[in-house]
Amino acid sequence: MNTPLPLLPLALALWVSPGFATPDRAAQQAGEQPSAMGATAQPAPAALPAEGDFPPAMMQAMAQRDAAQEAAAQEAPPAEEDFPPAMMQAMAERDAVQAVTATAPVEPAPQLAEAPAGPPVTDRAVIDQRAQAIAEGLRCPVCQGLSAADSQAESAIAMRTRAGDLVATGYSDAQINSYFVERYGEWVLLEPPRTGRHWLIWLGPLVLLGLGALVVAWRMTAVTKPSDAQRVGEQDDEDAYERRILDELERS
Amino acid sequence: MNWKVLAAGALVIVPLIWILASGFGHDPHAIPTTTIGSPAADFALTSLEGDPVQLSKLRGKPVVLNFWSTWCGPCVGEHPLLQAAARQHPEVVFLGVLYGDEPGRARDYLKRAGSAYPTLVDESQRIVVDYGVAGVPETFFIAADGTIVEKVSGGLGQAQLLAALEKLK
Repeated sequence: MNTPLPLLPLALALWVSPGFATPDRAAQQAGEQPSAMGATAQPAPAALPAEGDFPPAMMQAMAQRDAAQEAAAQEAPPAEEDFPPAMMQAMAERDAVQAVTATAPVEPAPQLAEAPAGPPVTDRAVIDQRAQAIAEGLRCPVCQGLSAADSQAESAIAMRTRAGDLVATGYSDAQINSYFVERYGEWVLLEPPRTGRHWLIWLGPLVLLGLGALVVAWRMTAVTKPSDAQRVGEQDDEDAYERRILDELERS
Repeated sequence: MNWKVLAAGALVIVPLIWILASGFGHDPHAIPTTTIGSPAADFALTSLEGDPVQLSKLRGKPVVLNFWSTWCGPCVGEHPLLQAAARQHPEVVFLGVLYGDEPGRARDYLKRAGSAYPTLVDESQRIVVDYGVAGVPETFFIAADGTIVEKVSGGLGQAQLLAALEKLK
């Protein structure tokens, strides 16, 4: 608007010079047509201005920047201490995870050490029925007096699922019970097995009951059949009583 | 008093006292540990990031297997200790196993709390029974030959963890 007239030729000269490039002009110089929106592709390298086109001050600044970059590149790479601790920790964690997970393709893990006693079971109803029966004999690890069949605890559900899995694979009930005993101990069985020292649990109450019956029978026999001494004592008491009555009669 | 009566009474009372004393001597809720000394069950699971991990592929390295969940207070309490141990013992492979929890919730938690080792997901919870896990946290220490040398039920203490790691050497 208020541009002084003497500056107009200078501005015109700058605009016309190749170093004063706008995107549209650069594209035109590269042989492209400007788009309607004014945005074109990046200008071709041939369209870049030559170094001599830049003002001396800018050239000097660019030279200083290049020198600083070269000096930085010649220095040693940044040491581990130069990174923030959080970044170092994240990098170490990533490396640790990759070291574990970078393994060969996964093969299916075997079911149990021993082979199944029978063929695989495919009938879902049979699997569920047998798994339920097995779970009814197993103790829920985190419950109070509940079987694995009656509990909705995570571990009880896992036990039922595992029992069904093993039934489907062909393992017998005895094999599956042994599997659970190996992992949780005999504690896991709600009913103690009828083997070895466990017979003491099964037969102990019966033995004690028999002993008690014997004691009671012995005591009852002792009460109903008085001993000779008791009989002599009773006879002496009767004799004394008779003597007292006779004495009383004689006096009267 | 008749000595026969005394003997009969002692015969009944002494075993009863012995049974009660042995019963009061241990926690009735404690589950016996039967897996120590036995080979660790193999498993092939994927981590929260979707990477496969198989125990048998790690044979030759000691492994610490920690069953945990985000809703378990002691698990959250021992998490920093396990993370620090995993960083200090790169020769030991630390693995977490998610127990009864949502993978998404575990990812969020580990993003906040840090994760120095993978956490594995087992939708079927088969590994839980294979290792005789009753609840969380439970940590198994598996020697380089694949034998379980120690099991800790409940939150780990520093001394307890160091003692168990010593057994892996």
